[in-house]
Amino acid sequence: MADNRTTTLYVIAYDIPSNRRRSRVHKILSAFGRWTQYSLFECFLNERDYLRLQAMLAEHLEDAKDSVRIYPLCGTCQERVETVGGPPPEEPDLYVV
Amino acid sequence: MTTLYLTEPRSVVRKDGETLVVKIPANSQDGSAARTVRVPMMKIDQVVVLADSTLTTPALLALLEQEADICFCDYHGRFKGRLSNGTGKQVFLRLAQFQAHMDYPRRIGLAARFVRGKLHNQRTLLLRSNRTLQEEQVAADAATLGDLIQAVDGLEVTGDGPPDPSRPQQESALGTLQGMEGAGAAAFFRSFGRLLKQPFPFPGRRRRPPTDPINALLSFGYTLLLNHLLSAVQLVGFDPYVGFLHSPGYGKPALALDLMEEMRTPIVDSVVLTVINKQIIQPHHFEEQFGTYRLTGPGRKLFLQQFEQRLNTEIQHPAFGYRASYRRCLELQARLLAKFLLGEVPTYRPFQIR
Repeated sequence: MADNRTTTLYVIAYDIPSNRRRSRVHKILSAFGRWTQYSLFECFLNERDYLRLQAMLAEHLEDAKDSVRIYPLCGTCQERVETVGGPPPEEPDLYVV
Repeated sequence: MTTLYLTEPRSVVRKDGETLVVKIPANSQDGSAARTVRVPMMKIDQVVVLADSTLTTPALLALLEQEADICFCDYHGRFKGRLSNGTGKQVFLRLAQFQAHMDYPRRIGLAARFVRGKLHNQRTLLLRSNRTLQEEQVAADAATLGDLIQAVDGLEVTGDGPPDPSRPQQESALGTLQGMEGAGAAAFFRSFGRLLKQPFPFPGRRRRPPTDPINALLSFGYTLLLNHLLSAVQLVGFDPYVGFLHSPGYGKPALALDLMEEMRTPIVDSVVLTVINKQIIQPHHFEEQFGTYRLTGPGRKLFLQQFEQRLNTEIQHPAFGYRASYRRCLELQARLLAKFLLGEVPTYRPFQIR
């Protein structure tokens, strides 16, 4: 039971030419958030998770060829997110499978 | 704090990188196709297995590594056991816990606090619901609970144990206390049926097995609550099997049951009222077998959603004054108990709703 974690929503987009590295990055990002579009993830992260994500990505990326962009959204911006098709970003606290 | 509930029969949970992959086979009974669900693993703090799911060893190890625990229940929601990464390293806390258990007046003092919290919360729920209902019977039962609270507060502990250890309940403070708890439960459940606005009969509390839908919901809810409290007491470093109100028994998580008493009404009883009175759960969500009732798959998912929503509801903590979710309150009570046993605070205050 972790304490009340304050999380920020990050929108993470990537453009990676190598299939192998792209699927690696995809797999890593799946651990941190939700895959909403091709090469776009929405992740709710606290500071610790954010650093962990950066470290894990750095292991696999090649700076010359790959690009990953991470946009943090502040609380008020988060509420103003509009979506057409698909649900708005949310942090699930329950999975029933 | 995220819980993963596994409700699909014969599903297989594997670890793939940093995610859990749940493979659900096709179900010929309701015609659903096979599907795969991916769950980000590092967010998970608890896994509750409610069906005959299989978790692979790498998945289990990775969950234990991040200090998540895995609770196993059978199909009916009965708690079977749990897998966690050890009792914790809090040796001094456990020593204090055992000492307080052996010290009879101290043990009864704590037991009385748990019973008081329970009676208080039962009374509050009845009074609150009766504001609109205005029924005499409910008012009378609330008054009975009020009298019992006074009796608990005035309880005197004489001697240093029950007079006859082979019959520990007789003529002892602990026996009296358990009697008052029983009387409180009788009064509460007599009125509980009157608070339900649906055509569900409620003959009073019946367990093992639950003989009607309402009792099935209560039993299921208490099992889920017990899972959460087991995690909370182990997280703080207690031995869950040594309690104060509940006497020790082989494999009986007495401490978790103790702490559960004051939480039953605000969490489970009120959720049961909500799902029935808002008609979220309806008669077709139950199936009967040999006179016992249980929830069907869809009914279980609806109840789980409401239960989790309740746990995530934030309230002003009655003792500390700041806002906290009910889920956090479970852990706070365990921490408060630890502080009391270690002498850092003078009293243990039960969780009493307003």
